[in-house]
Formats: sequence, C-alpha cells, structure tokens
Amino acid sequence: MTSFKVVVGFFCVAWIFKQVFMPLSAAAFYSQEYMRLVVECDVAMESAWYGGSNQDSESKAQEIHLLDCHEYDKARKKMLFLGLPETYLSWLGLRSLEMYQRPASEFTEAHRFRER
Amino acid sequence: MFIGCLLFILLLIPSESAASNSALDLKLNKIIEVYNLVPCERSESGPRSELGEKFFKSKELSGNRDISCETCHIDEQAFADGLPIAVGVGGEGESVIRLSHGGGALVQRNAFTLFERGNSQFRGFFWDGKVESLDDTTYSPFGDRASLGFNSPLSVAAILPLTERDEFLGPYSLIRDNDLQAAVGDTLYQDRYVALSKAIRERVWADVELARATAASGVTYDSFELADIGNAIADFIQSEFSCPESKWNDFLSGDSSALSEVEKKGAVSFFGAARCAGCHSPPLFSDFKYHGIGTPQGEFGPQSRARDLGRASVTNLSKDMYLFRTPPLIAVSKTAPYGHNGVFPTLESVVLHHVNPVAFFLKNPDYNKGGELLRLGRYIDSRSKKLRYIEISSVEKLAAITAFLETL
Repeated sequence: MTSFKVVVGFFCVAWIFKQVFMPLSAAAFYSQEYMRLVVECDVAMESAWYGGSNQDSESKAQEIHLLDCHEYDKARKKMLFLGLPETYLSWLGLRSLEMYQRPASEFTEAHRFRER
Repeated sequence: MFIGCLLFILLLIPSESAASNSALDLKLNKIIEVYNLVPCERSESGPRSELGEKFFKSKELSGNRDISCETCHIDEQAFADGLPIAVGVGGEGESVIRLSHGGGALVQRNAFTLFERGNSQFRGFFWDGKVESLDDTTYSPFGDRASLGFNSPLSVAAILPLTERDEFLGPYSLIRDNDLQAAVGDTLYQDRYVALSKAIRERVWADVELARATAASGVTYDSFELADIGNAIADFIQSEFSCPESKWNDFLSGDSSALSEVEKKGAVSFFGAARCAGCHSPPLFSDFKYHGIGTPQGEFGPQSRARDLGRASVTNLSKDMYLFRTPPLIAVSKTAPYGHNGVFPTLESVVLHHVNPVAFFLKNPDYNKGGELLRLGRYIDSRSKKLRYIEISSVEKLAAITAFLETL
C-alpha cells in the first residue's frame, strides 16, 4: 500500500512538474527572446520579399538574414516541447508585432492643459 | 525529488550567452559556406620585388626629387597617409605634418592602403577605376599601351602617379621646369609615357644603386620603359602587402575564439541583414563596381565643390556621376579618414552615412550652405538603390558592424 502511495505521489509530482512547472519556467525563460525572434524573422521575411532574388549577392544576404527565422523556429519548438500551448505562442507573436503600436493617449497627453 | 527536477530543467536550459554563441557560430558557418570563404595566404616574393622596393622608396622618380611612393603610403598608417586627401609635390614630412606644412600640392583624392592590391582578384584601381581589368584587358589612360610590357593592371596603376604633375612630376613653373617636366611638356598620356620613359631612364642609370638593381633584373638601358618600374613595384606590392594579419583571417583559419561575441554579431549583420557584402564582397570586400552613397564634396582640394564627378570622369556618362569604386575593406579600421575625399573622419560616420545621409549634414552644417545647399540633391540622387535594402534595426547592431570591420 505504501509503495502504491509512493508511486501515485511520484506521478502527481511528475504531472505537476510537466503540466505546471515546465511550461511556467519556459514562459519565464523564453518569452522575451521569442518575441524578439518573431520580430526579427518578420523583418527578414519582409526584406527577402522586397529585396527580390535577381542578384546573387542579394540572394546570399537573404539566405543569411533568413537564418533569424531558423532561430525563431528553434525557440518555438523548444517552447512547445516544454509544454507551452500554441495559443500562448500565438499571443506572444501578436504582442511582439504590436509592441511598437502606442495608444493615441500617449501623444495627446502632452497637449493637455495641466493648469490654467 | 523536486530539487532534482529543478536541477534537471536548469541543466536542460543552457545559459543565454552559450546559446547565443552557439547560434552565432552556426550562422557564421553558414556564412562561410554561402560565401565560400577561405583564409588568405601570403604571396610569394616576385622576381623583381627587391628592385620594386627600391623604386617604391626612391625620390629619383619625382620631378623635383621631393616625393616617393612611401611618402603617401606610410608604414605606420597601414600604407595610407591618414589625411582626407593626399599632399603631393612640394610638401614636407608625412601625414598631418605634411598637410600643416602647407606648401604641398593637394592631390585629387584620398590615398588608399596598398594591402591586397597585388591580389589577382583586384580588378579596379583608383577611386574612379581609371585603371581597370575587364576580360583580361587592362583599360587605362595609357590606352593600347596598357597591354604592352605591363605584367598586370597593378603595374599600370603603379606608374600612373609618376605621370601626374601634382603627385610626382612637379607643379607648373614660370621660371624653369625640371627635366621630367621638360620631357613630357604638354603631351597626353600615351605620348607622356614614351617621353617620361626616356627621361626617367637617364635618372635611373645615373643612380648607381638603381642602375645596378635594374640591370640585375635583366632590363637594359635600351629596353628600359616605365613598364619595368611598374612591374617591379607591382611585384613588391604583391609580396609585401598581401594578406595582412587580422582577426578575421585568424577566424577563417579555424580559430573561432578570434572574434568576440559582438564582432561575430557584426559579421552576421554584415553578410546578412545589413547587406554590406552585396557591394563589399569577400574576399577583398569590394565588388569592383561603381556605386554612390551620397558622399558630399570635400571642402578643399582640386576637385572640391561639385567638381569631382567620380566614375563619370572616366566614362563620360551622366549615369556615372558621383559614383566611386566600392573601396575594399582590408585593414579598413587603420585607414581613416574615409570616402574618396576623406570627409568621414571615423568608421562609424561612414557606416552611418550608408543608412542615413541626413545625419552627416546635420552634424556638419557647413556642407549644407552656399552652393552646396543647392547641390546636395545631386549627391543624394546618386545613392545606390542597393542601400535601400540595408536592415540595421538598432544602434547596437550598427556598433557591432563597426566592431566587425575592425577585425578585417
């Protein structure tokens, strides 16, 4: 009976470790880096599109630049492996691309009278 | 057990620095593969190398015996001269002292380093490519003569300064020309070659040391031509200035610790996002084509204020106005100032000008006054379309590129 409890206890801890601790740790460790890589890959893909591929030198530069997307892919797979859901990664992706959007209030605030 | 699991996951996650280095090394390996990069190797000493060194250092080749090649290609300055534009005949001293002396003739453009000029892949010489090798034919102001007697385009380039009044012959004199000036008179390049060959031959054979060394190389008094000087100096340049020591070459030779993390990041940007290698193509970091980055005209010198048309002065084509040969970047950090007229004092300033020409004019308002206020559009309009694809997203990345350039 005792050994059964030990096994159940072990599996409970393991389950908590896998379902809770690992994803939370992964989110804490990798979220910022992942958001950076989302932006870098987005920029690399956009540059590759606009740069065209007529010239050998541009194709080579694109090939190197697009390695940023390889890093993005690696980070994404690592985070999925550690138990983070797709939806969380999608949310991070949206956040990173919208990071540079600033609310209108930031611009209008400076023009408000503080006192008259 | 919990602590054990914690240790397990900490071991699973490598340190940020280690992960970053590993990703950088992976990218650099890819760069080596894509650009087919190999370390450079020093050239063997050419048969006329010793004679070339004598000519390189001899003031007998200048009209007033006051200047030699090494006056503007100084050992301590990475074989450039550290000045915006070179100071030719009539000057005294070297580098800044030569400029402050004030008596020398200002030469058209910035003096470049001699590193790797003897490399067989080096195709275009001078800022406007006035000596150029295309399809095994050398084009130069000497015309057809460029293919006669010269061993390489470098041989032609090496003697071109000898035929220029501001660099070697000497300035116009109302009283008396020196013997070299008297010989060339008002002749154009092809005739000037013949006239100068004869006049310099007299000087060479009058100098015991030069005469002995020249004869030892198999050249006789009767057969002597300027090409013999060019070939000898080219051999000297090829052996003396090939493959300088650099961290980048150490890295390519297999020492992955030769570059710091920042320098590696700079290399990745240089070859990738920033598209620098699109024009500054390895191994010599030049495509030997002609591009514009919107370099302003210099404040002084014979071609300042909108008059230096760059490549157009060779081709006479309007599309080539204000374009200059992509400068090779070997030892670039040691050859400030930068640009064909040396208007960029630092490596940072010239790199920044590629992505933002406005910054220079804001920082140097004198370039935005008077006639220049109405001419800036010309220079800006000459900027290469390739520059629009440069992707440098932060000042840290710009600094990393500069750090990488310092390793070349």
